[in-house]
Amino acid sequence: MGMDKLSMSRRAFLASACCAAAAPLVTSMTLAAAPGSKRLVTIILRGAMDGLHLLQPYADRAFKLCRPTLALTPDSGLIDLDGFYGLNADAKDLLPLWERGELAFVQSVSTPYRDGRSHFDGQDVLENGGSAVGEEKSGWLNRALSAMPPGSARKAIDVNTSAELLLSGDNDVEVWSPRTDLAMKIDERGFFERLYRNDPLFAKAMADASVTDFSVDELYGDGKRGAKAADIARLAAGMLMQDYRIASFSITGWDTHAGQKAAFRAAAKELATAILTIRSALSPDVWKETIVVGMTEFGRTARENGSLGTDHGTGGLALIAGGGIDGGKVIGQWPGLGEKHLLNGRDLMPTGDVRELAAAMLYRQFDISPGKLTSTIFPGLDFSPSSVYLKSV
Amino acid sequence: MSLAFSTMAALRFGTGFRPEQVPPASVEELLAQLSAGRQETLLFPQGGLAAARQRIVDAAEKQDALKLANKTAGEATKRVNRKRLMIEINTHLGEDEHARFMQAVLSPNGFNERMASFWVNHFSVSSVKAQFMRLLVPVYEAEAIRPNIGGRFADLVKAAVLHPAMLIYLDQVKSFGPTSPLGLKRKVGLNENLGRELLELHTLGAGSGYSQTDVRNAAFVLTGMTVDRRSYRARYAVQMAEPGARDVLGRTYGGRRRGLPDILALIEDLAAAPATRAHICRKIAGHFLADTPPPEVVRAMTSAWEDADGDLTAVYAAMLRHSKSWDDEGQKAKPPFDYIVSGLRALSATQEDLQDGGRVKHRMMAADAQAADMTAAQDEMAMMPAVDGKLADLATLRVNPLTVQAAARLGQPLWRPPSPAGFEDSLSAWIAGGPLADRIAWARLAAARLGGDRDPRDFLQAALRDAARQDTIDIVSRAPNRQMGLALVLASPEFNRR
Repeated sequence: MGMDKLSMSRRAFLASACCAAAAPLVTSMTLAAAPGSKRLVTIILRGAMDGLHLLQPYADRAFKLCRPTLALTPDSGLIDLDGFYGLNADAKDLLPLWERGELAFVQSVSTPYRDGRSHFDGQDVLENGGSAVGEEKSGWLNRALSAMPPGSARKAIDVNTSAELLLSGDNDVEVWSPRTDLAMKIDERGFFERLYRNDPLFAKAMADASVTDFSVDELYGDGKRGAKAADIARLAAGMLMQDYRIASFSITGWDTHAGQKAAFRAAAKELATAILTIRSALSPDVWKETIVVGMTEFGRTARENGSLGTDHGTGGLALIAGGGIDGGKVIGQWPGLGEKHLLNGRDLMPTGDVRELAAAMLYRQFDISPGKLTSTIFPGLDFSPSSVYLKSV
Repeated sequence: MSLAFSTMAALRFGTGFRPEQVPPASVEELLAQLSAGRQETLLFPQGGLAAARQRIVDAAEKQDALKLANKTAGEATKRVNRKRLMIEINTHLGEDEHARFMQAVLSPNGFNERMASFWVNHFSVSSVKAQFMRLLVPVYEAEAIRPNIGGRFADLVKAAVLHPAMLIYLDQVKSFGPTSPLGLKRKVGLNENLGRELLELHTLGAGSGYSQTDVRNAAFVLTGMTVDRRSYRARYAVQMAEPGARDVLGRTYGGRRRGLPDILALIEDLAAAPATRAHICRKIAGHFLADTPPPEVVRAMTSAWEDADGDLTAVYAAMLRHSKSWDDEGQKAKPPFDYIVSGLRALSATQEDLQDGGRVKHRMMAADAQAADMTAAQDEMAMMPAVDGKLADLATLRVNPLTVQAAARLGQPLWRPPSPAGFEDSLSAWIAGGPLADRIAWARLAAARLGGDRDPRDFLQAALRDAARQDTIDIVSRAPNRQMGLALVLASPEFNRR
């Protein structure tokens, strides 16, 4: 089967015979200003992203002492942002966003998970939204769907090969990876549609699959369908241009125990590419209505280790991007790197709860009530509309 | 009963028809598969349990030796050493994953296979929790779960919950009585994880009336259970145990001296609680019959439980002997593992078809890590920094696209549940747009690889017998080519449902 023949036939088929399926593509473009037009993208940075390497507090005198070989300065390639922080050049593609105020960093945040320093458990807490491993059995982003005002658009997509905890739960969420592909000629598709015709559940799944597959084909054209961040981000953004309001995916490669300068590069580039891809794949109107949140399970040690890398820590960095935010700043309290300021004498001290940041974005984007945010979505969280994460951006 | 007994037995209570095997013709034959299954030589872990246990001991020794050697080694050597061990461990896991599929596809005892999968999912553990979990999880299924699925529920709980895989997975090894000798010395305290899941997931069920105090006290009673880091066997360490008596649901455990008997007594009492049998029977019936199973079947199961002191074979028998268990076929969807297994059985896949793809040079794997669908093991490798020249001789396992890789793609990576609650089990969770598209893709791949020159109509008959509906028969008969016909059978609603 030639790829060009395939997508030609798919397009021709949908354009001629399947207007209903193609309709959301057309109408959603005009929905940008309507109620319920806000979007949220969550990116989980799996493996413990070293925030101190991405956003370097070069003007803090303790920084160089903590990281004699890793610490950079504007003289050694760091991109100065505000006289105190500098952006690692591995993520230099994000600079224009920062300059336009479409990017902000959130300093020294963490989940309530402490001392275990296990990726697995840290990610569990980050995704379940509770204060301990296993406290909740579903993901906070799935529970948020239940709390969105009735009648609002609330479709969500998990851009993955298998569902991640963050979006798992009672609410239906589409799981679709860039490589998921119906890849059929018209006549073949006809057979499957007839196969499912008399089974409503399967008929609906097939219809949903056809719509999504059509959109995904449009996004990728005849191009290669990789599983890189750009492919994933393109799919996420494509769905947000339609009637999806929430998209989630992950970027791995952050566990930089050794040779961090080299090891960090690929992941940082992927992150920058993902955010820029989302921005460019959304219309300017939709980008204004969209917020991208990047978060990691925990930060890394303040000091570099003996392998020119860093080990599992606690306080970390989050980032938010979007066309409508008041960015170009670093939010959150900088705890300092002096011995007495570090948690257990080794980790960046968390000065904020990353769940509060997530709650603030859910409140901002979807009008979810503080009562629900602090009970069902993030049980026990302290959050109010006066949150610093709402006021600052 | 609208379908033949053997059809329901093979589809609803088994792993699907395999043309070479005769499906059970009675409830007694179904139940007999439990003891027959126990007599089988398991195809995993590779080389048998004793060999797998030896691998764990060897790996632990290697790790100790590494720690010693690393004290004097340079950074590059350290990195190579660590990675070498990790690749070795990951390769063992990959081999066991392939063998686990072989076991399900080839075993003639489908009901036993289904019950094993059910209980492994009920007592979920994950191979990615820690490095040694990769070696322990296959052993856990083989030595803690499978031998106990036909006996008393309390014994199954003891075997599963007190197995090193569970003790590590739910952090029991990190739980110290705060005033125990070791707790005081190391200034460490209680971890409630296992205590909570023992009540919430394993026995009583969420919302069944226990309190946070019960959870905490259960965790106190469990202190002392830990894992020996040389043998990776469970061990009771009294110096980790919180002294004193604790109440869980109104019963007191322990006194001035604490011991393993307190833990066993707690498990016995939890297993005997009415909430537990209601929770477990409903979950079993919900897994086999329908998301909302007929209440009269659940009642029959709970009263069998009561009469037989929690003997699970009696509970299964009560379900299988109830006429309502044989009505309304197709209320459940096969989860990905069972879907794949039943498809491969219908295609008479051989051990050779289910092999891994051999070893590939490690460097290649690392370079392509982001782009490929990876096993857990390889995922972690992808997160590791640059590959050293010294590792060029190392090779990692290429996974079989029809089994290990497919399960991950379809949303059920083997031995890697998303949380301690296990994988989803509802109809709607598995039949949705993306997952269905992935199932169709798998059906086409399997048909292309293993379909051979089968006639699609014969294949439909062999795969579904009288469960095939007339419209499916018509469409399959009109398929434009043989491969498409075979794929339509595997993708059909009847083949996905049970």
